[in-house]
Amino acid sequence: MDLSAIEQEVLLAAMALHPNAYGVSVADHIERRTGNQRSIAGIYTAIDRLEKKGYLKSRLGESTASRGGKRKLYVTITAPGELTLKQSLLAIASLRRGIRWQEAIA
Amino acid sequence: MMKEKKKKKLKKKMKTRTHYQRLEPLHFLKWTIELVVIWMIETAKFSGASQRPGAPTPPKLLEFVLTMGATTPKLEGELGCINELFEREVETLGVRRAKLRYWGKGIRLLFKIVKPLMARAVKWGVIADLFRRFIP
Repeated sequence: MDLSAIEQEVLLAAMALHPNAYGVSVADHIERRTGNQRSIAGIYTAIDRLEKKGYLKSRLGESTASRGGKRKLYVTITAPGELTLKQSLLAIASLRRGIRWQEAIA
Repeated sequence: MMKEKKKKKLKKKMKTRTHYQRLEPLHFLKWTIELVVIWMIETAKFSGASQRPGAPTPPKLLEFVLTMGATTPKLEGELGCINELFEREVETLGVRRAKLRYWGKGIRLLFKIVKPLMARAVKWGVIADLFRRFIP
C-alpha cells in the first residue's frame, strides 16, 4: 500500500523515538530532522489513517500537568507497517538510482 | 347495563394506563439535560485549567468544550498535545499569540469532534423519521 510523505515521516519518527513517540515529540523530531513544520492535527490525522491500515498501534500513557491532565497517546510501529515503510523507501531509492542530476535540470 | 359499565371502566383503565406508559419527548429532554449537567460538572472537576495554578491558562471556554468532547483516547491525546504546545508557546511567543494559536488548533480539533456526532445525528434522525412515517 502507498504511503504519503507525512505518513512516511510519522512512521520513521515512531521508529526513531520508540518507545516515547507521541504527537508533540513526533512533530519536534520531524521538524528537527527535515525542517518541515507539521501541525499536530496533521500528525494525528496521519496516525489515525496508519492505525486504520494496521501500520501503527497506540496506547495511552501518563498524564502531566503541562498537558492539562490529559494523557499522552504513544504510538508504536507494527510489523506490517515496518514492511510497508521499507518497501516505500526502497521504491524511492530505486527511483533515485541512475539520475543524472546536472543533466536533468532544465 | 352492567356490561356497558364494565366496558367503560375497562376503557378508562386502558386509557390511563397508556397515558402513564407513554414516554413523552419532554421526558427524554429532561433526562438529557440532567445527564449533560452531570457530565459538565464531572468534566469540570478534571479540567486541565485547575491543575496549573498561577500559570497562564488556555482559553477556558474552548478548553472546557474540548475536554467535554474529547471522549476517545485519540482526541484526548491530541487535546493534551495542544495544551503542551500552548505551555511552550507562552514562553516563546507570549500569552496573546499563544492563545490565538490555541484557538486555531482548538477549532480544528472541534471539527474533528463534531463531524462524527453530526453524522450520527443525521443517521438517527433518518431512522426516527422512518419510524414515524411507517410505524403508526
